Amino acid sequence: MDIAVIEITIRSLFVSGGAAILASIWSIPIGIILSISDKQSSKILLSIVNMMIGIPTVLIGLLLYMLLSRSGPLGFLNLLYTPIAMMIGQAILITPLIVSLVYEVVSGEAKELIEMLKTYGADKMQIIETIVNEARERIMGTSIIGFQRAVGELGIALMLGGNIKGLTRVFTTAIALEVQKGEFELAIQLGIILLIIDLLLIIIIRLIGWTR
Amino acid sequence: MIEAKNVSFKYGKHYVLHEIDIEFDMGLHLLKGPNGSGKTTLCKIISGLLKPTNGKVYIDGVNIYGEGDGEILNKVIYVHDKPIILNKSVYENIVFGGIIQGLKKVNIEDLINRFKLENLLNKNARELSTGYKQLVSLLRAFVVEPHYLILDEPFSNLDDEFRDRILEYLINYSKKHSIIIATHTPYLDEIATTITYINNGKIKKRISR
Repeated sequence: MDIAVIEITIRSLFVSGGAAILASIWSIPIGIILSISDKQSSKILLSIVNMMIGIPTVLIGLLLYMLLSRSGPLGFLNLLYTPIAMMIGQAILITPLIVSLVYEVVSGEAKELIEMLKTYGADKMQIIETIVNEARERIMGTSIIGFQRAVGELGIALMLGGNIKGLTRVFTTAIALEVQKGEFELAIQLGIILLIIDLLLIIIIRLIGWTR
Repeated sequence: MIEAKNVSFKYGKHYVLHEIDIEFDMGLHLLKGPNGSGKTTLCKIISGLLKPTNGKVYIDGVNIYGEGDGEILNKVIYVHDKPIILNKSVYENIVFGGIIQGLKKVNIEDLINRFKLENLLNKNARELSTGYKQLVSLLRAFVVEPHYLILDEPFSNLDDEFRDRILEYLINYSKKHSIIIATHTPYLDEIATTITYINNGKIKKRISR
């Protein structure tokens, strides 16, 4: 296998895997809190989150580009055209998806569990701890779905990464470039690897019992 | 005493419960009615788990949906019809409620002996039959000895032997506590302190002894 293919594969896994981990850190607690909250404001927030699932990746890319560009408010961080910028962008992209899926797991599966915990007087922390323990496989499944979405997106990777060879080139940007050049061999190789990763993830998700 | 005053619960445009006035003192109280009549909703409302659309619920004179800190709700335990089992051992499931309530000593020996669970204590409770799961779910509530025990269809999955032992336990327990049971079954009709018939979210009849 071409060394470039291996390099792109590793970088793609690093960027999107990092994005999934990063997004999970805040999205899982938010999803659980929304699902155990009875407040009207939580329902409104959930509606906004659900609405944001379909937000175009180029829009997030554009917003972050403006923030991270040299003249932007966060330009001093020098993150634009780095894998970190791509990771942050993808993490933001998949946040609404993971929050919504965690909400679905917890409120659907654990509604009665929450009632049981409440009847024994469990506080919010005990409820969260028990839910995470009981539904950890399915919650983990939400992060995998997030990764799947991140690894397959193009807009953010292109706008924030710039598709720089050896630095920010990932599956989607490389495939797009190779097709533009008319060099389909590498594009097909990368496409097959992306497909295999996707299939493996679907198998993992099935194995841990997550079906949407 | 648990008192529900003018309690209604609306789901969408449909009233699940409509202007219910009911009291439960010490003893064994049965709630009867067809599926969807509002029994479970009433049980959850008086347990503090579901805020009514209208009306008030008092436990020992305290409005449970009022401004209080909710400590009064520690006196009430609601047990679902579908057993809620944690991915833990039978022992851990049974003592779970006691640990959450911060009980210093959770003594389950009597219950274990009574229900002959000695050999199952270390087994993962998720691997049990539905009947055993229901038993574990009930024992979890018995361990914390609540003043008010609210059970939703507790006998639905139990075999005859377990059912009889649970009945015996509940009859004794009701001598010093309040037990409210939503049920279709006639097992406790003869000895119940009150039987309330609910249909279409309204109390149709109440028999007191």
